[in-house]
Amino acid sequence: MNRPSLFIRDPKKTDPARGKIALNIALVAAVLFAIVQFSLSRIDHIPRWDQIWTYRILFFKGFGMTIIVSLFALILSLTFGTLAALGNHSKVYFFHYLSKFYIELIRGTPLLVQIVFFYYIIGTAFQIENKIIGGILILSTFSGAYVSEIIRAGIESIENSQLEIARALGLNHRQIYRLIIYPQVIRQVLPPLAGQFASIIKDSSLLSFIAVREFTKVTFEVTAINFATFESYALLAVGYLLLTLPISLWTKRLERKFYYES
Amino acid sequence: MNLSLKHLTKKFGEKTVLNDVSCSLGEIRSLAIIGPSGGGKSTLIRLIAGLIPPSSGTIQLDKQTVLNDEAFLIEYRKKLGMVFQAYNLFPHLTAIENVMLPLIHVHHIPKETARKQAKECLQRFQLEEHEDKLPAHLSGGQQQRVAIARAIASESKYLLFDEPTSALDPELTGEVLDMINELRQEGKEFIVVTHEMGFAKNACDYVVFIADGKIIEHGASQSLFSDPQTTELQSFLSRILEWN
Ligand SMILES: Nc1ncnc2c1ncn2[C@@H]1O[C@H](COP(=O)(O)OP(=O)(O)O)[C@@H](O)[C@H]1O
Ligand SMILES: [Mg+2]
Repeated sequence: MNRPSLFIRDPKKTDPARGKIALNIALVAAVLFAIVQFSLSRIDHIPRWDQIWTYRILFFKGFGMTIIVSLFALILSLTFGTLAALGNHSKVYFFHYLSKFYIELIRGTPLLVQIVFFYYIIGTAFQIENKIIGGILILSTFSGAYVSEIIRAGIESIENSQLEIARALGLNHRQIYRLIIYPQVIRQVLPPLAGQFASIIKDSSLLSFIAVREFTKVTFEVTAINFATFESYALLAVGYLLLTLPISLWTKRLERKFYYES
Repeated sequence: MNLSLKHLTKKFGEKTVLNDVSCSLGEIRSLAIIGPSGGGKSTLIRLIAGLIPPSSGTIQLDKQTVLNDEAFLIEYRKKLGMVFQAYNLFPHLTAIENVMLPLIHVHHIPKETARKQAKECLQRFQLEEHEDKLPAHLSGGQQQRVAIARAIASESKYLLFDEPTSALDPELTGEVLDMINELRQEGKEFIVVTHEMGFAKNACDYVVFIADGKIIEHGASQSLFSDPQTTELQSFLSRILEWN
């Protein structure tokens, strides 16, 4: 069947007409909207969007806190992840197994358990009183384990033969890292790291459990006062999407770019 | 070139790959290393290239002993251009950037001069239309030719090839061997590990036959191929020439 259609996608064609894309996206949006409207009508809910406006300052502060916590956690988790990847590569058994334990323990347990465990037990023992700093530390410890695996995969993707060729050309150790390994690892790890950042943003919502007043925690607080649960959570979802969607699209573009380049 | 191996032994762990190899070759312009796979050819050429240290024994190239010292080896490797079987190019750099890299960072040539030299070199081997392509967008033969051009641009004194065509199909093999032969006619000296007996016979003036970690036989290529002395070489040649 070769008839061009407004609704049928041809996987081989990379850039269909813009109008066609817009039409189909609008269709999906309309269906989703209809489902929400239908659900709301079944529970006789009349949206009270003014409630969002009333608590706008609070929401805004929470949103800002989520961004700040995530940014710091991203930076710290890059540090933790790099250290763990280096430790994993280390010739010293202690560092090797230390990083293995770290990675497996963190990846094998739920974040919520880690938050409670670290915050209430370790945090109390070592008197980390600032909830925000504690939260950032926990989140980056968690994310660092995943980052280290991303970095490890990036380094392993470089074939040994390339290192031998670099040596044969007369490059020294430092040049091999700077000119050959580093640029390739960056390309390899950038897309998954961007994805990891999106995960951090979403995972930061769990910090509400230790009363860090980020976006989710603020939403709990507001709905406890005004009972505008639907409106508040709709805003919460949109807020997270506003942060994660651009990252996700950017990641896809990076992946495509590097795919065609290599 | 003068190449002298003295009691050269290479072990990988328990495994002895080259076993007390000695030979002294003087005034050779092009040397072929042949022999069955697993015999130790790649190991020998990597030892000569200063990429791995011998377990014992010494290598002398032009009367200079190859020392097991990183500072010495970095200088030593600059004089040699090594081309492996495949994937010689760095995948994140274009053809011309691959050629420029050693010029800039090993030979300290200013970037613009390096670009000019690299361009000229690629032009010389009819590769200029590919200069801005990444290795993934070049054929296997083109990749090998860019790798050889890189060694030439760096003005390597000697070229070392480890089976430069064995990953290529016959048509591409021809274009790479033609290029090496062209360089030979210009007086470039090289060592090549190869399974292409026609090439070893006609384009190399001396041949070393290696099997089981030993040099079994060596000699001027014409006489070695027409009159092999050892039964090992005789049976190796008859096996490899069976389908040719
Ligand atoms: N890095 C290494 N570690 C262990 N064994 C090796 C290594 N490199 C080569 N060998 C072994 O040495 C032997 C000779 O290998 P090689 O020099 O590559 O032979 P050829 O090039 O003649 O086929 C093979 O048995 C191979 O498995
Ligand atoms: Mg080999």
